[in-house]
Amino acid sequence: MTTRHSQYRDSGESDTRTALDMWMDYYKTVMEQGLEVMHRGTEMAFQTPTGMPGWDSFETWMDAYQSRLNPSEKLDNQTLRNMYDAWVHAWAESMERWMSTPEFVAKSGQDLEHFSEFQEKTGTMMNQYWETLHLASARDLHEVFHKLYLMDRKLDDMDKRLRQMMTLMEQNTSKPTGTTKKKSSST
Amino acid sequence: MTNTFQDMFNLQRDLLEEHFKTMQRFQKGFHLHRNWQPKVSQTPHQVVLEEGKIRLLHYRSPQGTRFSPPLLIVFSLINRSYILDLKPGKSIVEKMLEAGFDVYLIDWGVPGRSDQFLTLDDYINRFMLRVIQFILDHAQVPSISMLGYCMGGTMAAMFTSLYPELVKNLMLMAAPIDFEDKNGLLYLWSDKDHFNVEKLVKAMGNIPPWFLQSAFTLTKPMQNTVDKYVKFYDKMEDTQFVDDFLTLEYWLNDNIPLSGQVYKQFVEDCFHENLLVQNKLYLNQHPVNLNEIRCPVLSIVAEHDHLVPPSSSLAIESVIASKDHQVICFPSGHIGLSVSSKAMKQLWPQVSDWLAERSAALTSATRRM
Repeated sequence: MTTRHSQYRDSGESDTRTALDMWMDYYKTVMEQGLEVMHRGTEMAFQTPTGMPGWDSFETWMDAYQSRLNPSEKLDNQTLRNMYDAWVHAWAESMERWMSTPEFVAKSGQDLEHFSEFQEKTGTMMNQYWETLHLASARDLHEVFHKLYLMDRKLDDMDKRLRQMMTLMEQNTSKPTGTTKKKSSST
Repeated sequence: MTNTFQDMFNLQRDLLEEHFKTMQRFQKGFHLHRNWQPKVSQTPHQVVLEEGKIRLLHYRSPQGTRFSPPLLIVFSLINRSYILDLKPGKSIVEKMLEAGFDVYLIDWGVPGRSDQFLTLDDYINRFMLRVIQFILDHAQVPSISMLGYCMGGTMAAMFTSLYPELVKNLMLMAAPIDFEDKNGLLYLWSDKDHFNVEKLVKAMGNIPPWFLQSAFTLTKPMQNTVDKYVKFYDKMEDTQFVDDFLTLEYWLNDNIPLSGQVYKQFVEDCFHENLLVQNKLYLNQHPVNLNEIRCPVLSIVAEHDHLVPPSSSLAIESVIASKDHQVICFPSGHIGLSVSSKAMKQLWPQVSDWLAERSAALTSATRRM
């Protein structure tokens, strides 16, 4: 049986295509058409002379813009970077402060408790459902797992004791020359 | 011929173009992030012990082992251990092999539903003990050196206090010991008045990866959700940066569940009651007395660690009996200790020197290839 997923793959399409890609395709078409219209419109309206670049790049425009500013007003990459860093820092600081307030701690604890209750109730309902159908529920599996765990622990304990006994036996068998001599002399 | 209107049109068109380029770049970054399949854990190794889900990996230096005893690395139970051997050039295992140590690494595996009852006692008194007894036989040594990272460090400290004769040197890397420090957000959020861990564990069984992952992400909300992706976007042309960034991202998102009982015990005994540093913690009736640690101890702490504040790790100094305790405070974050290029160049040579000074140098006759 072929699943829908494998059919998708078999069709030769990339399986990494996402909603973002589809959206980008649509966006690209709209943008290209829009830019084309704008480009034509600008040319028609202002009759850009031939030989002159139709539209300046962002950097060229930025340079031209900056050349009109006073030196003290000029924006460079570092200034923008510093502005961004300050923005991130301010947000980080305020969020961390907020998350360390007793109110936030109490509220998140409360939410988590509600979530746990909901999760537990869902579990109980599911157990009842499976038990009504006379099938093994999560509760049954839970019990089996617990018994297996206890058995595993007991086996480990037995193994440990066996090893201790073997070590003791080895120690005793390495000693006995003296004791056997004593025994034989006494007999 | 230009005028104000044309300027305006040009500006609008350029801005749209720039915006379009940005979107395309964003799409490229999204694809890279989604489809990156890094090659992790590349250092050649052998699986020398496999018991249930636990595997013991053995790494041997191609140049031959120069020091004894071998080093066992114990990682936390909440992430996968390949962060310690992330990729060539960013691997603690590789660094220790280069320094001439035989390295063993415990891979705890992925706990399933049947493992929800496992406790810290199981992990320490059963699994770690069995693994270490195996290493003693395998390497023919009476004791080993141990390096514990994060929660693995706490477990290594617990093990050493229970079996001091089996550990020759102990290195604790960003290991939480004292949980009284309320500077970290994790410590605040696990406050016993507001965090009902018993209810959570009862409802969930094992603690799912998304729960811990989101808690860790929220400790640095802006950095983890905005800033790091902006930096990635900025440096998308730098292949080396992209590889490093996405390999680390792959590890960060490759989380595993944590046994519910371990989590409950850790939160209740450590975060709520802070029993470990007071020597009041019991593992199945065995008291964990940190005062039993007499071997040389090295504490490696990260100066900017937001998960385990340095003061939490350094508290060990006041409770252990060891007279040889050294601290390396490195200017990095919690994960930076194990993956940053700076740590690889500056920190790990220092650590291996510390360990080499406290290990026996093997002569050419005793050296194992």
